[in-house]
Amino acid sequence: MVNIYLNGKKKDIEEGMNISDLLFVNRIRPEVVVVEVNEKIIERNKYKDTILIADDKVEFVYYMGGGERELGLVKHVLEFIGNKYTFD
Amino acid sequence: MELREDQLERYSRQMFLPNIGGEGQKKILNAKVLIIGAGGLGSPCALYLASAGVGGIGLVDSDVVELSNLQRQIVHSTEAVGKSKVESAKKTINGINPDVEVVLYNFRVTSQNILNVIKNYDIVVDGSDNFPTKYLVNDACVLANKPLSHGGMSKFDGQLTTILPRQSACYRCFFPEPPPPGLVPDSQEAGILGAVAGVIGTLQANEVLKFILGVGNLLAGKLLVFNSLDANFRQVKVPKDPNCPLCGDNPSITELIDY
Repeated sequence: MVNIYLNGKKKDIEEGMNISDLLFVNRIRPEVVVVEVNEKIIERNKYKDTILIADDKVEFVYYMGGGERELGLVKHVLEFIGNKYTFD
Repeated sequence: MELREDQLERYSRQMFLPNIGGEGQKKILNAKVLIIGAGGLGSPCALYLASAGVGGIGLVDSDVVELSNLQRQIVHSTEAVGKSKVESAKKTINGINPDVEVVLYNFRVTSQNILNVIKNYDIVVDGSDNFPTKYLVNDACVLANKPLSHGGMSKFDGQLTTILPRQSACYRCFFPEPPPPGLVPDSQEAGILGAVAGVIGTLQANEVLKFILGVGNLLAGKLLVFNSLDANFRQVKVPKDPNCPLCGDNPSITELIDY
């Protein structure tokens, strides 16, 4: 096992894991994050070649939008709580 | 410019602070800040900037207030439902501080109009709700050399950074291209806790005030990530990328793009 820091938290990973593996075991699609290792952004085409070693500081930085358009959310909530009414 | 007696009283608690005083307060009163989006991030930001006495606040938003906005967009009230967001925000802002000159832009920013809007301001706050606008605002601010406070949020998390064009990392140094449509939900799909928007929007106001006053260390080259469930803040350092398509050494983006 190798000990790394993932978003600031200690984490044991298998030896020889690369960034693609780490994303995969965490069930994160590569398209939704930017990956930084030891304060350097890693290009997506280098994920498989970037083998993680002890004490690496890995950051998954997520894209975050904002929050205004509403109807989608309202529909979602209704589905979520099982309301029989719809807005269509 | 001399401060009036009521201004001395109104701003006394911040004028007592070291590095502010009368000179700092005058800087705040003379400052012009553009807030893009009068929503979850723009609301707390506008309220604190208005309270602090920022002399000119521009508000960009083309939406009307909806009931489901009020859970987090605290500049609007129930009676404003159905009315224009920028009008509603102006009313609240001037209710708190009638000295603030509020300029309204009741439209969406596009590649055609954004440079004309931002040119009148000292700093821009991005409180928009979607990636096309976030990239447009970043690109316009870098091309026009306009400082920018960027904020984003999702579910229980939020993030912000301050961009000093050509000096510190821009949004594209972090995220060179927008995410593929549909893969990253904006908050209408993801949901958002109102207090998280309050934290991030308030921190954006804090960055703007530090910028105006020239005090402290800005979040330039640093992304501050807030996780409300763990109640922690983390700074992720992001150096300016020499290969950035916008602000790098050989930029491929030299004009504005509407995604």
